Amino acid sequence: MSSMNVNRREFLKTAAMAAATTAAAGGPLSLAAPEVFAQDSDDLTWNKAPCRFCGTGCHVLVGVDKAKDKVVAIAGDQSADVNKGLLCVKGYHVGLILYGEDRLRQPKLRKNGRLVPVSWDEAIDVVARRIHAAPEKFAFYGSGQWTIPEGYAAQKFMKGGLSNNHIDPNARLCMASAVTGFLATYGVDEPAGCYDDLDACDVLIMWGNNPAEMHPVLFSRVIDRRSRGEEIHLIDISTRRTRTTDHCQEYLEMQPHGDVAIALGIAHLLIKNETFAREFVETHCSFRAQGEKPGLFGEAIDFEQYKNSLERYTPEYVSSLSGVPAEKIRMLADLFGRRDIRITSLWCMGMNQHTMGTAINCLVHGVHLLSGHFGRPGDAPTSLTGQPSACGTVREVGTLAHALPGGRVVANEAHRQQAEEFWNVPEGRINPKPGHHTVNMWNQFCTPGGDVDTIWVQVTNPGQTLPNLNALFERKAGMEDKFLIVSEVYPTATTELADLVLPAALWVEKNGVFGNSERRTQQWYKMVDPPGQARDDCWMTIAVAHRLFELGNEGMKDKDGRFLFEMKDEAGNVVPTWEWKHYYDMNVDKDLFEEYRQFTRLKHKDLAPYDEYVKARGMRWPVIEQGDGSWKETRFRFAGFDDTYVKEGSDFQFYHSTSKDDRAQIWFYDYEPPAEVPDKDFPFWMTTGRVLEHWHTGTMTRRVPQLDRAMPNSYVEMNPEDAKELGIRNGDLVAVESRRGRADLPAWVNGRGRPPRGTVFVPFFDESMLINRVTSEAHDPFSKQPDYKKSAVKLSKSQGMVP
Amino acid sequence: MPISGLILSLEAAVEVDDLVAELSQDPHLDVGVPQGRRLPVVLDTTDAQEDRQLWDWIRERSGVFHIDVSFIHFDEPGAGRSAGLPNQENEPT
Repeated sequence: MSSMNVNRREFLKTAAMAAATTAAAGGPLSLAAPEVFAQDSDDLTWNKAPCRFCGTGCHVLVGVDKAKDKVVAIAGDQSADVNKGLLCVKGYHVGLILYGEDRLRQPKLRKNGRLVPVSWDEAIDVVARRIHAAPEKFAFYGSGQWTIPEGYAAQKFMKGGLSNNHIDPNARLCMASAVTGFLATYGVDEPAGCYDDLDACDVLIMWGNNPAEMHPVLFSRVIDRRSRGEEIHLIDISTRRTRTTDHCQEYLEMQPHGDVAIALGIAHLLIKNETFAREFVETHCSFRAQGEKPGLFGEAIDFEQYKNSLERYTPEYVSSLSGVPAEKIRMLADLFGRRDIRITSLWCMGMNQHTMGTAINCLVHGVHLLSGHFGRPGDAPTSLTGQPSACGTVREVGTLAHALPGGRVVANEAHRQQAEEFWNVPEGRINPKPGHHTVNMWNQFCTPGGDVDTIWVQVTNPGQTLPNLNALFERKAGMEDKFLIVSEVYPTATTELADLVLPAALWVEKNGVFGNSERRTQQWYKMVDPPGQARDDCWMTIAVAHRLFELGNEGMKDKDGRFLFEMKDEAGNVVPTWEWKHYYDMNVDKDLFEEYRQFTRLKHKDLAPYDEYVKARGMRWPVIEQGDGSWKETRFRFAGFDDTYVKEGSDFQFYHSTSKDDRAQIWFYDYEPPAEVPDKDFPFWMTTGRVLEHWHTGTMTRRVPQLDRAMPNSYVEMNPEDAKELGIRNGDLVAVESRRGRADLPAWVNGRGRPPRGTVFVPFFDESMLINRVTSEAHDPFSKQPDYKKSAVKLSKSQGMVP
Repeated sequence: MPISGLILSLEAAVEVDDLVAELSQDPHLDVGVPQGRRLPVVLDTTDAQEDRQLWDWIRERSGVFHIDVSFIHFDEPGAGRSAGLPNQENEPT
């Protein structure tokens, strides 16, 4: 027994039983949240936070030992609608991510080839002078793990301060095609439905999606319906069998890009069989086809043109393109043709990391619209996100090279003027030309003479996640004119090449606000101090901005000559938030959030005041103030029964329609083959992805012993027949090579996933086996999102040792 | 010194009273009040290995088809693993 006294242990066991009993009883719907979590013990306090990992947005209760200033317990939050008290294997270990032994604790600057400790003052000065010397050559590379205030500060710093649009997030790599799909279809981003659809659908179709491992709490929510005796039909459309497949009634194994053909085949049959929702379509939809250039509008077509375009996508032709039997295409079309059932589609990286990413997103929306399976609880096309604030920070704050907060874009003069007004900066401050998207940004940085010479990375790990790492990241080594700044919590593949490393606070070591996959905005407070000299990313941005202000950078002044990030306390006194000792003298998050909130109304993404989120376990926007002063969230956008912004008396209204007539767009795109297909030299498909135990690049989860032991290293998942033919046995080291690079990994045959012959799968969490040296940077022409799912590779038994 | 709160999902055919009796025999396990086909339990073990063994034992019980987690406590965090790259923090200066 440790020093922990018996009373405390009994208290914790009481808390554990209360949490389990409440969750077993069905969460807050059937039992009040246990009082035990509302009562702090002598040495333990509890507070709420969203989980740090994926985009599901589960809430946890965080137990902090006050004497040790440490997180010591995690409970699923029974008051949270999202997870109803449950967590996944990563979620209940989330507290341990703070305590890896190699946490970065001090700024370090590379001098004579080595990273050596420097003071924060020197570090901030180095960053500021680097930017001041050539602001147009500076780029900010951020993340869907940025909190909303962090992303907003970075956005304002770049576009409102430096007149520089070279800011882009890692989310470009994971959900940019979902964004362009929503925009092209509805004129506004993010799902119309929400997780409530999972409780109401009769059929759940997963398009290249493996929620059993990637969004396990959401998948449990579905499986739990079965355990209660409900009927739900699960269909997995995928290029390999996964844990999700094991729970599905139907598994449709498709060839890469087969999803495009399948969606076209369903639409073809809906029209041929006249089972499409004629009245819904005539009242609420228009038709579009791809134009000469990729874009948001394409060209308008009429129903006959749409019908004719689909003519050749017969079940047999679709079968030849996708590998899925024709009768299964008919089965899908028959389901969509039924009015008596409700259908939800889910997707994530499978449809987004795709050279036809925009197209397949639009086509799946189109199938739902054409069939009328839209806008009723359980009828929804819904994309999931992989990061906790890919929606909140990237998509809503708009930390993308072309965007401004609240759905605005830099190319629109009126949008620029609105942003300049909110930021109180001179007219013309915001540059109208979009900056570099992710692939371009890193290509320019890694090219001698490229127009980006300094990149500041916050809250992400491009040294592991960028495609074709040899070209887009590792070429930086030895380039004297390039300078890489990395704010991080642990050493990573990115800090390996950094010229300056800034130790960052993590999760509940700082205040934060996230926005999850279902438009839910979630707030939490700082609970423990960060280790050593680690500090908030947002503070770093403000401190650099102020140093630039001191250096005379005009961009760091508003039009009245005041500091761009000037903040005042409740008494009206300026708080020097750029000085760390004063950063928490006020709630900087609240100040930034309230400023940002002004931006959210143009596209009807209205947020409530910060203090409302303090009280709630998140609220889904648009959040509308009611007559009695309360705030109402919106579950189903564009649906008259729930969305305040729909005209009274209308059943549906797509009020941001790109055709300005309140109609959604049903798109036609022709099938195109992938950018790279196997040939005699590189005869295998390779697809990459994630695993249950590790979150993305593993920098946090690989510091948790329980998760690390459960999945200690990456692997190449092979079909048994392919392995036999190549003389490869389980555990043998295999060289996986493409035209771009090579990675050596142990083989896993008959493992967790089961790829078909000719396909291998490799997870990307392992920094010691960088599979993104092998992947391709080929990307969707509109969303600019790379296709990590389809690389042509060759395999051979490696002579190296299995690590 | 882990403490875990778990929810066991039970198969329809299982005799809940029998399962509760079987589980209750383990001194490291507190069994709560069944909520329909779901059973809350608390594990109180001395180390992570014992926790894992008890977890596996529960999973092997007839009638238990799924385990969810709702609570975890770790007295001495003891995470502390470095990942595969050289530890830059400890790099000689």
